[in-house]
Amino acid sequence: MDNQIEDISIFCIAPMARELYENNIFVLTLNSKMLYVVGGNLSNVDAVRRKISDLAKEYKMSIRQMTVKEYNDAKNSEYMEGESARIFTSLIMIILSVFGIMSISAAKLLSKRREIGIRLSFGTSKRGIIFIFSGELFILFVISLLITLLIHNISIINKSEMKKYFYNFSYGLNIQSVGVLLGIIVLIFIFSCIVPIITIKKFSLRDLIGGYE
Amino acid sequence: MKNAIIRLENISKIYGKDDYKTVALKDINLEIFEGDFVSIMGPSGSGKTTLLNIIGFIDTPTDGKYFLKGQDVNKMARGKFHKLRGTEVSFIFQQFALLKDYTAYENIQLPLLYRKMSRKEKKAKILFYAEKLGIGDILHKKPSQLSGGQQQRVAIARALASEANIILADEPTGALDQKKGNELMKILAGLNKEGKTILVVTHDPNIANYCIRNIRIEDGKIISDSSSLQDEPLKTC
Repeated sequence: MDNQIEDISIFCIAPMARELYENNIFVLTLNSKMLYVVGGNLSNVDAVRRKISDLAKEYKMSIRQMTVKEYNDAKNSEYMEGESARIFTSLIMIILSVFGIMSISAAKLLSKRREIGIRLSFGTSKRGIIFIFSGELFILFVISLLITLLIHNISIINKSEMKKYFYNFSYGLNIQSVGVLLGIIVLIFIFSCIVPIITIKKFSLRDLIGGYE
Repeated sequence: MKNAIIRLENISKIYGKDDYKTVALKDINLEIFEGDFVSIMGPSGSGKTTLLNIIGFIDTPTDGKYFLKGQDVNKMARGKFHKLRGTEVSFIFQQFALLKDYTAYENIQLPLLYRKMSRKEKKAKILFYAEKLGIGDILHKKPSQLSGGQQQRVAIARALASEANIILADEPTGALDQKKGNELMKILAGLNKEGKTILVVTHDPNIANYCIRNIRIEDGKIISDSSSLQDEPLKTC
């Protein structure tokens, strides 16, 4: 059906290309349900309108007539809706990631209570413990991220449409993409570290040393 | 005349609040002198470990004053206590408290991790103390591959590596049989002879006999503080 529509538009426009061009008319067949006719002064090309109207009826398509500005506004709005959805999904994913990493770090912290106590009792400061812990967490974080990117790239290897929306290694290094990616990584990492840092700050050395391995 | 390296004035420690209040230490006055070899004895719950924890900056007193080398510890920022733990006092714990995922070498290295010294210097220091304690050949092993006696020697080497002058031992023989326990106390007596100030918390009179000075604590109060009749430990290496 998509091919047919494309054929229709070519059929429709080609014989009157010059006239359409001069009158600033473009026929855009975007999907099976809507035929966009974009132009300035359509009154001069009634024949085109009739033809388009007939074709639209034949293929059970609705027609919407609009100016170039209206068309652009509509497309922008549509794009922004899609973008908002993507941003919302991304935020949800980031929040979930933060909770996931927080859970891992909390579990790791509990399993290392004794070790932290021993280190503290031999002169390591709490800041030093936070540094060691964050370092270990960061390594874990980067490994998880690389695995995720690898899986993602493998999964969309032949889906060029998706590549438009995601950073893809096969696209080469794009400074903006890499910047955004790094920014997100740093943000997730910082948020993930807040709870463990507060927990370490609150640790009582007496309680940590009290238990035995 | 010996200098009081540690002086406690009316030290009290209370855990909990209101109806759940537990008095662990009550008005403790104590002076520990440079080169002392002290045992702190008492039944379970008498407050001996709490006292050791306060001396070792693991815990803080609720009330009273603590002077270390004449300096009022209360006036120091709590954030600086870790430096004192690393340089002034060192610990030997009952269950050795070794890091199970690290080798004996790495465990001994622990107090040196944040010291400003070269890797070569650190290595030399670790090897020196390992040889001194007869564990030079097991440095590559992890605690799970070591016997109880070997683990305790690693723990002592770690305490010595910090080069702190005060060694605090909380039931150091608690996880060892009598023979190994006696060996350990002979090592500590030897270190005391070399000038280390050693405080040992124990409930075993046999272990306390190795020490020159014996302090008895009950219900959070010192009930006796007697130096042994001899200047030398009763049993030495």
